[in-house]
Amino acid sequence: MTIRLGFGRLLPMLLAAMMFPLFAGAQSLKPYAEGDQLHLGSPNLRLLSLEAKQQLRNGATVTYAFRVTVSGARNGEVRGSFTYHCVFSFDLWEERYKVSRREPGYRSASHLSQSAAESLCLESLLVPISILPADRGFWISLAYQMEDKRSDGNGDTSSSIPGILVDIFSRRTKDSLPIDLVEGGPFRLTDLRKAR
Amino acid sequence: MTSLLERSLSFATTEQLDHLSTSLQDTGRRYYQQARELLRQEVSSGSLEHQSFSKKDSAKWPGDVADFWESGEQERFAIGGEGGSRLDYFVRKGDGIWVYSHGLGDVRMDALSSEYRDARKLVQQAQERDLRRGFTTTLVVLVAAVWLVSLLWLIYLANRVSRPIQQLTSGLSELAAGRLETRIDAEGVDEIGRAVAAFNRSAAELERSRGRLVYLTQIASWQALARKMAHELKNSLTPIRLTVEEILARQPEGERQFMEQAARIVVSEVESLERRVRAFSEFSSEPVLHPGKIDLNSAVEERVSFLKSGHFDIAYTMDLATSLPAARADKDRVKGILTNLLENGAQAAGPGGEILARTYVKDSRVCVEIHDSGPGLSAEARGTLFEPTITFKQHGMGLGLSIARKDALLCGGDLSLMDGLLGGAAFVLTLPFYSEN
Repeated sequence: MTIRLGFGRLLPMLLAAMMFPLFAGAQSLKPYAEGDQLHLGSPNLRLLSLEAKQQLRNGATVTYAFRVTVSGARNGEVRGSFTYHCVFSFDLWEERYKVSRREPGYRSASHLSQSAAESLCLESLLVPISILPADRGFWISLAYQMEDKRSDGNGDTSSSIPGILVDIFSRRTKDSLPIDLVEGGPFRLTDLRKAR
Repeated sequence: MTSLLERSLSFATTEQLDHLSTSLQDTGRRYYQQARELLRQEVSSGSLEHQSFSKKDSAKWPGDVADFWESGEQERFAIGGEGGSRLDYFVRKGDGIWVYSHGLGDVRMDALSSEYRDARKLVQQAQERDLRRGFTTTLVVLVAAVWLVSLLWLIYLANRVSRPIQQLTSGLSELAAGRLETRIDAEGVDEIGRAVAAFNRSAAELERSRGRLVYLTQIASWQALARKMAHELKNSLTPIRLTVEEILARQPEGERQFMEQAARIVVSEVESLERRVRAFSEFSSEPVLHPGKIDLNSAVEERVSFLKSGHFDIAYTMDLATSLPAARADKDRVKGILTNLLENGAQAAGPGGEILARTYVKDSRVCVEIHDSGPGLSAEARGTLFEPTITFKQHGMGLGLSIARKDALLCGGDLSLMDGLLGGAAFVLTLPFYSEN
């Protein structure tokens, strides 16, 4: 289930949810347990927004910040919370994606399709199984947001008063980048071990 | 405005940069695709040597080879070499990988990517701005600011010009209403400042003239009173004196001793009254003025040497200005004034005292100061110093300073009290310059 928190997108999202009831369910989390870690997965989740893809095609890198929260019940007591960052880039000539993690200890992967890059990023988001209840269900929520690398208006500084005024008055009002939220649950650890 | 123009030109350049960078990327991509096809053809024709990487040596594989192996792909093209000057073709061959490489000549694909990224960043920064709105608003703000500053400047100038004029108008109204003490506080050396200064000078002169006029009017009243009183007293004193002498003459010889003694007392008092009557007559008289050229230094020296003989125990000091201009006044009256001031000073200073006489020029006037080392004057005495009074002290009638100031005013000058330099009283006599005209 996906909740778009950006106010400007709230109405279109509500309309979309009314018209395509199955769409929301299609982006639910599909975690799986492997070893002593729980991997997040969401096969149909599209991380990269249009703006992110535009920036990538402009040769820039795009970083997504993720916050994984595990709770005993929906909106219940939080058992653990983890923050991760995925860095995407785009090979202009091969037109393929590359994804890496900002946190150390992860290898990058290149020559990926968009969906492969997104899946690889999501599957690298880990939750230690030790914090999960063995005999009870739990909920996982994944909040993610593209880091804002848009110009802050200081890119072209001017020393003259007209220049400074043009800088100030020409700035467009920027909408804050939305925080997307995907929730799933209740999951049981025994079921997740079998899922793989 | 120049800056706005430059910004506008920059805006136009950014649009060109947008088109140019997009075109550059298309060209680069086509070039890359052609290089890929060429490399593939060369591999197919077997004309290109390859580099083998065996699975058993996977620990020594370069990163891009290992990455390819782990990807599971059958083949892959990748940019390699310094600055992206080489195109590599990875092919999976059983338990190993073959890598074919082909140089891209002078083309540096990584450098091209970097330049494209920088160009797109500039374009994006420009697209994040509404430069048309920025220019328009800036122009409006600048015009409004110039207009506002001009308006404030005009208000300031108008106020700067009109305020002193309003003060002048108000001051003139006050002056016309008789409040001659009115003055205007204004600075500046422009026409307005000069007008204000002239107003203040005129008001001060008017105030001084009014004071003199009032004083002369009072003196005139006192003169009339003195004249009347002197006349009446003189009419009475003569019969009294004659009658007393007649009474004495008709007394028998045996009683004459007592009567002579009584008659001497009465006659003495009558003579005293007659002296006062003469002083009143002198005070009330108005002899004709004879203004002329007078050297005040000489007058002071002459009076001091004249009076010094009568006050040998007084130390006289003179501080006389060199090249002192001549004054215009009645010489006899000036002598009378100086005599009065020096006599009063000597009496106040007493034996062993000091008298200082100074001359100088100030405000186009010749001035004489007489200082004494006496006890000075009380505040009450200062208030009524120049008013005529009747005194019964041994010397003087109490009219000297009144007559002196009246004479000074009639000569076109003035006599006033000032702070003494010797601890006692001090007076300053001011007289106008002498002029042939």
